[in-house]
Amino acid sequence: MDRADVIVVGLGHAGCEAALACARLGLDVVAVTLKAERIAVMSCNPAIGGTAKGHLVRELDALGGEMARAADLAGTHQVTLNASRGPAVRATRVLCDRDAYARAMQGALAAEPTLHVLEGEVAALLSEGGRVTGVALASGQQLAARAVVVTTGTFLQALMHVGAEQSVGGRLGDAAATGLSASLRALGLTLGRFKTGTPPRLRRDSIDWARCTPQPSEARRPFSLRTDAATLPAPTVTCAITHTSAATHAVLRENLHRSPLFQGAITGRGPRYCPSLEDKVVRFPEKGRHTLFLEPEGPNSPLVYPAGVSTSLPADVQLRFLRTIVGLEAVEVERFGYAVEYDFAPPTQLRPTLECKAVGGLFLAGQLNGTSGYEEAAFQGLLAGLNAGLQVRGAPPLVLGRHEAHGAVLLDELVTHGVDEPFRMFTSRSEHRLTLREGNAEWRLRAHGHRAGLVKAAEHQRTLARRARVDAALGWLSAARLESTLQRPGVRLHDLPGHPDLPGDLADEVETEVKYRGYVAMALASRDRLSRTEDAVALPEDMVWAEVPGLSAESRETLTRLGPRTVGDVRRLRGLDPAALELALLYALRPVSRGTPHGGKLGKTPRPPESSTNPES
Amino acid sequence: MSSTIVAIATGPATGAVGIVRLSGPAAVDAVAAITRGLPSPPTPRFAHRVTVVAADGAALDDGLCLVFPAPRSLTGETVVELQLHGSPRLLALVQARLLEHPTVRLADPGEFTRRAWVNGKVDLTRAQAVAALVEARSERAVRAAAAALGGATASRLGGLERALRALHAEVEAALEFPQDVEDHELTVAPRLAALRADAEALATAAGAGALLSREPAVVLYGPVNAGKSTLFNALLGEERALVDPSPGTTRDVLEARVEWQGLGLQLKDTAGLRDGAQALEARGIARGRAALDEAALAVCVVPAGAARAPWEAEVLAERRLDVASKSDLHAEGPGLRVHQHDGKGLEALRRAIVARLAPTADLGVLLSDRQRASLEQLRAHLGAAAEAERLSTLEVVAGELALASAALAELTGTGAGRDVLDEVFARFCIGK
Ligand SMILES: Cc1cc2nc3c(=O)[nH]c(=O)nc-3n(C[C@H](O)[C@H](O)[C@H](O)COP(=O)(O)OP(=O)(O)OC[C@H]3O[C@@H](n4cnc5c(N)ncnc54)[C@H](O)[C@@H]3O)c2cc1C
Ligand SMILES: Nc1nc2c(ncn2[C@@H]2O[C@H](COP(=O)(O)OP(=O)(O)OP(=O)(O)O)[C@@H](O)[C@H]2O)c(=O)[nH]1
Ligand SMILES: [Mg+2]
Repeated sequence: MDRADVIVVGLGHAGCEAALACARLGLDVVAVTLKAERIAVMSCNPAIGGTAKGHLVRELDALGGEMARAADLAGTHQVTLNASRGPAVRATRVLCDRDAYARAMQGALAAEPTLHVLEGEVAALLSEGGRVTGVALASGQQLAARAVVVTTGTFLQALMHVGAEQSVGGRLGDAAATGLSASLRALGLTLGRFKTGTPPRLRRDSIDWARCTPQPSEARRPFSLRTDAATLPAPTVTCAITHTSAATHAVLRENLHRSPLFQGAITGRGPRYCPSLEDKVVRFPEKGRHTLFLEPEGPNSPLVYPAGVSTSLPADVQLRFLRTIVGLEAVEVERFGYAVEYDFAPPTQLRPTLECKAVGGLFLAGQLNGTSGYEEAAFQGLLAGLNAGLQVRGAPPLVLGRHEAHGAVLLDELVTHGVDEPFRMFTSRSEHRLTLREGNAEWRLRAHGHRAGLVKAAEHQRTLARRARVDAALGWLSAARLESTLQRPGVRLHDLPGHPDLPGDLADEVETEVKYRGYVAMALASRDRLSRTEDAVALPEDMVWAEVPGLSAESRETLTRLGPRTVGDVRRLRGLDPAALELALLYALRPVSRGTPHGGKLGKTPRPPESSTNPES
Repeated sequence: MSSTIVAIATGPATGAVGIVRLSGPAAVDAVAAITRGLPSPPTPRFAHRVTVVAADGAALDDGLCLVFPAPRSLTGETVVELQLHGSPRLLALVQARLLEHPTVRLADPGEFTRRAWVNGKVDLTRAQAVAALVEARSERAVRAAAAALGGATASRLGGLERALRALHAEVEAALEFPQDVEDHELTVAPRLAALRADAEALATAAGAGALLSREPAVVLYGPVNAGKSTLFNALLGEERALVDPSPGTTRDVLEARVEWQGLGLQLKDTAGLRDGAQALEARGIARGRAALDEAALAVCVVPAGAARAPWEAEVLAERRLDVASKSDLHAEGPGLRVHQHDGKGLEALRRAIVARLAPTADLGVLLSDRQRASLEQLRAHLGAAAEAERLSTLEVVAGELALASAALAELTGTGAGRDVLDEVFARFCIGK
């Protein structure tokens, strides 16, 4: 039986980062994937980044990941979202040439001498005494390893729907993985079912571009710290905007009965932030039109991705409603939109390192964990791969704090709260949003990447030198008493007499740190105050939630399982009905003076801290 | 909750009707055991004519018995009400008879409401209102508590919460889905202004509410011999304080509770102020100053025509009401003029005091100290959000709104499991 240090199952966006991380630690990696030519394929939108996702990409890059670099190489068009809404929500989105992106990532894999790609289907995980020992392929071949990272995306028991037609497959043009679900279950994992969808692909030359509003690219800026701005090619693609019309909505409404979603043929839960067009028309009848972004899949690609028209209606309906849209009157559809249903593994079964609680050495990452999106998958892939590698090397794991990265918020949300729909990252999920910017990912995370062994010493030094320049500028501002001047709206660093000469990105950083200082301090103080007052209210140690009347069964279950210790803990729990918090408050604050024999009905009598040695209790 | 509780629901005074109320699974059994004439099973929500009997079978009283089976009752449990004649002795006897039942016990204060709340029959603000009602001592306090019980506080807080959540969702929708929500579609400034006005009004009402639960102190002070004690007696309508032509008569702080226009107050008379007072008198003056420090309102009593400035300087104007005493002796002068001996100006003074303490007719919202602190936080974050809306960026506005929401959740005692993203998805057409 062949052996490796780490086996990575699946080379999608999670798997590529996982395999690269392990290889960069110097470990022997075997990566098994269904089709080698489909490595790092973008299943859906050919774009990397966007709100919160751009942040993940920058964080991934600072830690030593590959996604930002591949997007720089394959980028064709770039926009900055939320440009005027603040530096912490400002986000980069790079449209890529779909094929070039996959090629760039495949090139990175090929450059790693200790990484071997094997084409095949992993049908089972091998284990012994609660620890994973390797994998068995559908071909019968077995491979041994000290750790296994599973990143099979949407492929487990995958079912595709186009209208009433169903076919087996994780993605158009790919098969499904059929053995692995049973194997995961046999290891004690629970699986759930989700669904997601993708819009039709349009033929570029069948669109009347003159009737749409052009959306040109901004000047290209590097996503990756490893990319030299001077080497970035100019934008090669122009996108366009158009809108649906009343006629579009009429076609959709008339054909709702033919949608598998409305018929109930799809049972998996889909994401609320990615509604199908038929869904939008039903839920927001007052909206007269919906926006479509027409995004060419590459400078020479004959295909266009229309963002905003996810659908699982039958092909004939798709064609009819598309042709009611301005500019698409004569559109030809290359591939129709479809929905995919697949198995996922609820991530509360994982440790913060993404290792399974039940099976040592087995790590799960990517859409398999109930997330959605390339960036979310890639971030998990990097952390899972890195932690698998660190475990094999006997080194301590890397677990980031929520205040350090949006990626850490992503992982924490997954493993502590779980998911009830395909999970996408949003910046509002972080209580530290103002300090987790795309612009400062470098200083937040590069040191971690360096310590773990993914970031080279020279790259780390460069980051330290850049930080020194920012600090010097901050020192100059304070010595010159110009901080309050810079804090005024509209004032920029280069408006100040005698300002230090800094490259644009560093000047931005200086301005943001100064302008936001007050708000950040206030937010911190407020959070402190909240946690002080609520965390100070302790709940009885042996609170018996199961006996509390008036609570829903789910709330009782959650409270019993998670055992909150303070009122603050209760507030932070999710999915409780509001009454649970009221009850905790009332119970904790109730007078204890009299009637303990019957007052204690809700829980046992709260014990004073010292009395735990009391033989009576 | 397996026990059944009993309490006399009407007040301690003798009245025409007295009610004994039970809640819990054994309520019907317990009543059946001490009455004759209750059918089995009793008709729900029907007034049955019953006779309450003593242990030896002798009739104690005739009355009505109403049964409200769970869950359609005040507490959500089975509730039985016995309506009898309103003699306190009789009601105590009947209650004692009911307590003979093995699972019936006396209710804790507020326990009926606690049970109602636990069973989802009332919300927290209403449950608090009941506690306030039990303790209410003035007419206004009773009315404010009753309004809160009717859900006025809950609906007021609910309105604020809905508006804040909607605004927060709008801002987050714009930040998370910039391509779906454009700047010109945002309505942050006017909505924020409306929210701040609501929070402001709530703070005023909470201030009024605080007066009701903690009856404010009104302190009479001024130079010796100004006529403070005479005024104190006149306002009370009884001779509480010693009055004498010699200066320095009053030493201890005298207190009396009064209720004017439904507002309960602590009225205090203090030692007259003067320089060079001897040991005992000086100690009296010190006590008076201490009372003055804690006063909600200080009434500066100076004889008409005498210099006022040195005495007015003792207390800031916003906490002070100026009164010219002995107005019969001097024709002119500033301040409210009173003539204690013939009662001239007394009613005007009472009205002025109430108006200063409770400027609005608003009954007041009853909040705890903890809740008032959260309300202050809420107002601070809304203020910061408004400032950021003018001077900074939308993400800072969003951050302040998040903190404001946290403060409001703390105030209302809800907020678990409420996620702004849920609101975004429910309200906005977003996503591809
Ligand atoms: C139809 C569709 C629509 C989508 N729509 C959206 C959207 O609207 N918005 C959005 O954000 N994201 C969307 N996504 C999600 C996005 O594509 C994924 O989140 C992302 O690609 C997940 O990355 P991953 O690495 O977890 O899995 P994938 O990229 O799916 O990669 C899985 C890899 O595992 C391999 N594999 C699977 N099983 C086995 C096995 N048993 N043995 C060996 N190899 C195996 C596959 O060959 C593949 O290479 C969509 C995906 C699909 C398929
Ligand atoms: N003419 C007239 N005499 C008054 C009036 N009010 C009080 N007096 C007299 O003034 C004298 C002092 O009155 P007090 O009420 O004892 O005065 P005080 O301010 O309490 O005095 P100290 O306790 O010594 O500070 C008494 O002789 C009162 O009868 C008034 O309105 N008109
Ligand atoms: Mg006196």
